[in-house]
Amino acid sequence: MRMPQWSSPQRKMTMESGKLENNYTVALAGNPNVGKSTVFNALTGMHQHTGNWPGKTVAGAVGTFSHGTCDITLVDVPGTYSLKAHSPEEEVARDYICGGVSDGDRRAPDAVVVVCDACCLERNLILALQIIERGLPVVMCVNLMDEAKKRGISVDVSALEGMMGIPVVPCAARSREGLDVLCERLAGVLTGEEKAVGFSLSEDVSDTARSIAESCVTDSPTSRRRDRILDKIFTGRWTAIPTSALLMALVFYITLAGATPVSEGLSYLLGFVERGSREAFTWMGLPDIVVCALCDGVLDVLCTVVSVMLPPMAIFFPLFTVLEDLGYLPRVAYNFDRCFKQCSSCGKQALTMMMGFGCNAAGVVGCRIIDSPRERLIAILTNSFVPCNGRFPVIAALISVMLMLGVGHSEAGLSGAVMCGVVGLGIVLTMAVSRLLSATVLKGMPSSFTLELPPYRAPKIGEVIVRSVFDRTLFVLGRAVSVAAPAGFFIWLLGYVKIGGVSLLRHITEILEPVGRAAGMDGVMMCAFILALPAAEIIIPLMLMGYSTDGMLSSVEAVGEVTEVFQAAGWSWVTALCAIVFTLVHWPCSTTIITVKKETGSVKWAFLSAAVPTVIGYGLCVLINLVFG
Amino acid sequence: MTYKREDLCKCFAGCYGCKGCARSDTLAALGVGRSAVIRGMSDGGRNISGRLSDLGFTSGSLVSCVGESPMGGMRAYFVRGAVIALRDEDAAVVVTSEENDDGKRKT
Repeated sequence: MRMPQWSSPQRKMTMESGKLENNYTVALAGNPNVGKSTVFNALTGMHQHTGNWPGKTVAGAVGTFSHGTCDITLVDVPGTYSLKAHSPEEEVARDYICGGVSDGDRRAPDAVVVVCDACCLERNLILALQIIERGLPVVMCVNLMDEAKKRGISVDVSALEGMMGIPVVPCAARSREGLDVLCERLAGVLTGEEKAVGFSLSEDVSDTARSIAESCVTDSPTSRRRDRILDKIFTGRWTAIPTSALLMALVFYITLAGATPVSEGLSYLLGFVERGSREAFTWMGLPDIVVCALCDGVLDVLCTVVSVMLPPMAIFFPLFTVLEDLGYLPRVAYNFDRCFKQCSSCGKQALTMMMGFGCNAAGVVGCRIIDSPRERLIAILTNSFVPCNGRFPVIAALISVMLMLGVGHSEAGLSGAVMCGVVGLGIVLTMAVSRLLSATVLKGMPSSFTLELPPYRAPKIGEVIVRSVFDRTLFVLGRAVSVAAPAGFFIWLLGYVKIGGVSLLRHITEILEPVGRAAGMDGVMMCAFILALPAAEIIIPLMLMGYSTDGMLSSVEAVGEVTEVFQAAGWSWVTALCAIVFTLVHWPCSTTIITVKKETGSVKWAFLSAAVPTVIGYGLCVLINLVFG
Repeated sequence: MTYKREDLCKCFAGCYGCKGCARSDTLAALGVGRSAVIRGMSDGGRNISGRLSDLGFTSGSLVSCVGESPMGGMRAYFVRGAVIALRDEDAAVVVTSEENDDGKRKT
């Protein structure tokens, strides 16, 4: 189930075809979920972040290390069950391992390290045998020996080596055990001191795998009892849904509760930076207008985006990664597959939807875990129907405003209930739109869906933090910042440039007035939604800016004050309700749209990912306005 | 063993042996806690037998059903040391012969 962004490492490889002496290329192959990336990181010293998303090596990472006189370039090939490729990702893996057929100048690696899981050696052997059959020098690394031992599974490595005719090294990559031996024997194979080209198979690969496994592996009957007990809790008929709801609620609670104070602190700190840089710019003698553009425009929006986006992501992603490392996430897909099958999609969409609650851009990237292209597109296009961490607080604030306007006061319990309703609406819309898409533009029967339920494993905290912070948080934040800076300048420009004594912003607001009115809102709100394209978090500040007389971006004030401003601008509770619905369902943020473009490689799908929720959201608001307005 | 078009189950899309059918010799009919030996595939043109055999569902393998999804429609099978979840209609492609309690295979 792994897929690479293969182009860049591939290019790198082809450039190296003029081979230096003692300079070798080694492919790291194996089934998914065997700790291949752990081996890769342990060998290359984590110089590369492999870009892991749930159960999947996203970028085919290339790393180098040397052993003795050998300089080895290690290529992390996406996980595959077999060389008989059944998906495009597996084709990439096969082409790499066997030396490309399409690309003339690509050569086969000098050796292949096949990483196997000691706990289910028999299935892992199928791939190993297929690679041996191709005549490539192979070193087998039997990983997770520590885990197998804990479970009472013993692997007779020397017998295995005898039967396979290649070097077999037992390993526990998480604790670095056996890796030195692996390097040594790999170097031996590369320099030709050790024979590593195995036998030719007389019978079927799977039969050979079975007979080898039968003679080398002793399995105890209780080896998987713990997993089955945990499965009874996490996937049991009565317990599965409450536990997953509870876990998700816990993750959201920790994220929201933890993010608020950090966000405030960060925004306070960044405020200093902003004031400092303003003084610095003035001191440097820059003209006033440039200082204003940089500080009130670029820096202000940049600081807002960083301080509101970074903390929730930095909390949500590690928590999500912990669940992933535990082996819990595939169980969620297993539990909820039926719901998504009804919409002609697959259970893994439950996972990408959950990631979408953290950040829609991350959710879209996470869709790489879905094997079938059709179902992957459905998941990508519907990801923004669930509110991300950015829109969550906006919706929460708007709910308070709505309750103040509607019933005169805002209670935690009542707004919590409304919030659940909003999230529920998001989930229902995700399903409905998935169904709609698969009946229209993405026609087709749901393809087969197979899912490995890996053993439960204790997460490794260090790795979790590195992966979630570097690979996900900074990845998404980087994209967000690159969009926020120019957008900040643009917003500032709209407020600054005056035509006929009235700012450009006012002109746009007036043009948008009828568009907003039809959907129960007004021009200022529509304008705020459009300008909040880089980050939905700034919707409320933008609305306040639109209603204020000086037209400057102001920081979020207390809910009471905000409500007063909105009430003065003629809001009723219906206006607030429309704002809530439109916040939930409108175009996704620019980061998400760019991500969709990158993931699908097509402007058409990026456009559709913005158009579909916009049309539906606007339609819903018009409907609400007709019924209540 | 190959099936003809007429053998197709009437209950849902192109399946061969789900619940409610006469066919009881496929993986989809294997109850939770039961084991069976795989006899072959009868893919009905859905082109998934290749993927299933990669995952370890090959002739002669011993499979046991270890659980059912809480909402139904999917079951988890223990095969060749790993737990793989399949949808019922995909599992219906795998033809099995169930083991008796004494461990001997039915003919």
